[in-house]
This record gives sequence, C-alpha cells and structure tokens, in this order.
Amino acid sequence: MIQVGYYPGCALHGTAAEYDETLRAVCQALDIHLAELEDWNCCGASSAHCLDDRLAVELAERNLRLAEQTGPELLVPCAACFQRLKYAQKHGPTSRLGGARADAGNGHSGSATGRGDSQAPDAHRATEAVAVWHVNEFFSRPEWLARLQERMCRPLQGLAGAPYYGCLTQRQPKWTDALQPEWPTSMDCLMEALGMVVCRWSYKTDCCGGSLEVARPDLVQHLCDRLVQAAHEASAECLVTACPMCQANLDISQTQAASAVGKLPVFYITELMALALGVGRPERWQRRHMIDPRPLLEQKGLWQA
Amino acid sequence: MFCSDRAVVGEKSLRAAVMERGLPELWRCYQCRKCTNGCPLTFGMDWMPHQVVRAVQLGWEEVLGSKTIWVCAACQTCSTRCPNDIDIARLMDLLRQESLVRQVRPGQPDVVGFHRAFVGSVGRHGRVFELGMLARYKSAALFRELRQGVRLKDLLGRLWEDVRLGWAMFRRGRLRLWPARIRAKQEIRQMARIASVAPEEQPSADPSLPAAQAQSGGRPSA
Repeated sequence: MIQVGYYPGCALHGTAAEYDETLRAVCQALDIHLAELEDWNCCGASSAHCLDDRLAVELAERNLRLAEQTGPELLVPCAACFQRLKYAQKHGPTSRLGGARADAGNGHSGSATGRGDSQAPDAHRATEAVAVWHVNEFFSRPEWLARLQERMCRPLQGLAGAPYYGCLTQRQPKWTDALQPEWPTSMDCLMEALGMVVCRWSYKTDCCGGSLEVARPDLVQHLCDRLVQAAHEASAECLVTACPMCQANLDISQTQAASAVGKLPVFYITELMALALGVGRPERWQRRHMIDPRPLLEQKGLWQA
Repeated sequence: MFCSDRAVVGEKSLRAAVMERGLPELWRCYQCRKCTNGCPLTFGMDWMPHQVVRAVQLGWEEVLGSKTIWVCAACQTCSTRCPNDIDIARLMDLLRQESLVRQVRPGQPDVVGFHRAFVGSVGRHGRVFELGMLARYKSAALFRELRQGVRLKDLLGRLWEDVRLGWAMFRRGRLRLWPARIRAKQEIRQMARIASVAPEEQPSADPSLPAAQAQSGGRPSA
C-alpha cells in the first residue's frame, strides 16, 4: 500500500463525480491510498488567469502547500487543475522561473497586498518539491501498467477507442513537462494494456472549447462536432478522455448534434480501468453519461444489464 | 521603444503596459502566422492571433475591444508552437486584464460575465458551486440582453433549453444542489477580491475581519 496525495478539484465533486468514484475504485484495487488534501480550494481553472495573474497563482499555490503534508506525490485527475498546479509551481512568487514575472504581472492590481510576502519563503520552495501527476502519466509508468495487467480480470477486447488528451494535460510543455505535447502516448499505452483497440487519429490534442461551453456553446459545438467526426473517421466506437471539461463538452454536444453518424460514448480512462479490473459500480457511473454507453458495452460483452 | 506610442495622456500606452508586464519577446514576431494557422477558434474571431500581436506592437488599443481576446480558449497551442517562443496565450491574458482595468466595452460580454461569475463563486465558497454560478451568470446575461432589446420570447425559449439541459444533468446526478463548505473560506475570499470582478459580483467582506486586514486584502481598483 502506498500513499499518494489527491487533489480532486471542484468538478470531481460535482459534474464529474463518476471520474472521482472510478478513480478511487481503481486506486483501491491497485493498493494505492488516496490521501485527499485537507480543506483544498478551487485552483482557479480557466477563469482566474483571464482576470488576474496573481489570483491564478495564489489559488493553486495554496493547494500545493497543503500537498506537502500528504507526501511527495500528488495525483490530479482534472486536466485544468493539473495545468494550473504545474503552472503555479513554476510561476510562484519565489520560484526560480517566475518570481519577477508574477510580480511584474500586476502593475495595475497593486502588489502591496501583504499576502504571499508574509509566508515563509521555505513554504514556496517546498511547493516545487511535490511531484504533480496527471492520471494518464501516473498510471502509464511501467510498474503500474504491469500491476494493472496483473490485477485485470476482464480485458476490454475488441473495444475500439480514440484517446483524446485535450489541451491542458499537455500545454504548455514548459509548464506541464510533457515530453511529446503534439503526440502524447500515455493514454494509448494505458488503453493497450487494458486490451483495447487504440485508434490512430490526429485530433488527440485539439481543443474542445473548454469553459466557452457556458457563454459560447455554438463555438464548442463546432469544435466538438469536428472531433466526433474525426473519431468516426478513425473507426472509433468511443472516445476516451481524462478531463472533466472535455468529457462534458463532447458528451453534451452530441445530444445537441443532428448528425447522421452514430453517437459515440465518451468514457473517462478510469471508468474503463475500473471495468477491466472488475471494480467500482458500473451501473452508477453509466447512468451519469448523456450518451448512454450501455448498448456499446453490452454489444462487446463487457457488461450485462 | 521603436516608434512613439499613440498619445495617451495620463495613461500608460498599451504597448508599455504589455512590455512592463513581461512580454519583451513580443518584438521577435515576424508574422509567420503559425499561431493563426494552429488556432482552433479563428472561425469565431474578428482579429487573427498574429494580427493581435502586430496590433500590440503598434500600440493599437482597438484590440482591447475585440472579440478575439475573449473567444480565445487558452488552449495554449499558439504559445507551444511559436518559432520565436512568444507566449501569445499569455498576451491574450494580459489584454483581457488590461481591457477590464481600462473598462473597455468588451467584445464578448457573456464570456466576461462567465469568468466573473466563476471567480465570484470561488471567492464566495472557496470552491466553484456550479449551480449558483450558472444561475448568477444566466440572470446577468438575461438582463443584459433584455436591455439590448432582444425579444423576451426568444430569451425565454433559450432559457427553456438551459433548464432542460440542467434537468438532464441533475437527473443524472451531475449537478450538486449545495455549495461545498471549506474552512479557509475567508482566506480564499480575500484572494478573490480583485479589481476586475465587478462590485456586485464581489464576495462581500467579512465584518469580523479587522479593517486594516480587510483593506490590505482588497486591491485598489483602477
């Protein structure tokens, strides 16, 4: 049993509860103890950095400080949270890269707020020490792939999925430390280990529109239609994501689309992992999807009503 | 400076503001358009990303009122691919912030409204409370459109669509009805009291805080 710090983020306690549930089930099956950060707060997501540089870093940094208490590793399932925490590690007030920049970043908002300065510099240095992991990268390391295959009881044979990484697990690579930002392969490895057919397509890291879903759903619809169309062309039967925003956008946009092509269920990678490991409660997460995944899973013999 | 700024008396020029906030690499742009060609959202933009870079170099303040700066989804594709390592996505952030500080009429008031509602919700609860945030955002958007003369019937039709989607999400257990409670709410509230969130959306100051502390937490408005 190893302990890993866990920062679920707001979405996993709300719109993406199934991601949280299945991740917990998978971790339990793999003997990982998830230590949820005590009293964590929102990371600022895609809004804080639009309005205020300092706020965007401060919100994320508080969580990094909390993460010191749970151990050297922090698991972050949400792509947006992951990117903001990685950004804050590199742009915090006393970090090597960003100190001057973050302070200069608020010429208008005034820098003499008294916060941040009062904290011990050690606290900031320590936030850089925590290794922030996204789910894809965490589980696609060889030791965990091996453990996953060892415990797997129901390989997802014959299920063809298009791995969709989205933007924020990868970009910008100087923040996220992504090695192949234009052609990531971590989720491909995971899906292969689960026995899935991995569809090759060139839309892996194309944007779904993110938080524009609320204010400009028309733009998101256009982007998601294109992604779903491309997945169809790659002969995918489903899309696999590791981001609450991508999942919601792709899932919801397909309920609005009047397209003639069939609708593709959009899975979280952890849902498929839980299914392959035979853990979690499939009937609970399946009913949360807007595009019902049950017919596909039944057809593949992976689930019975 | 390579050429004189457009005269703005008593106010920093746009170019100076951007330079000061740490984007000196902006001058390296040679208009190769890699940013524009890779941008997934150009179909919704009025200025192309490479034009925004040029506009800032030239000090054209009109760009602050563009749709582009708010339609940008911050996907970071442009910054990742720029051969001159210009952080164009960060430039968009700076322009968004600058436009709010200068109170420029936004090219996309709905997007601004969303970001403010989001940060407001974080300040209020410490974590985002989706239902409350959406309710505030939607009502503000509704009144704004009514003032602009959009027909009530059309608005109600759209509202009905939102309610239907909301109900579908709720039925599937994807909307929580109560905000999360965190102990450090006051600390987060102080962080979120930023100049760019309108007064009516600001989380209210806690009366139990000493005045000096409350004052130091709030930021001077522009």
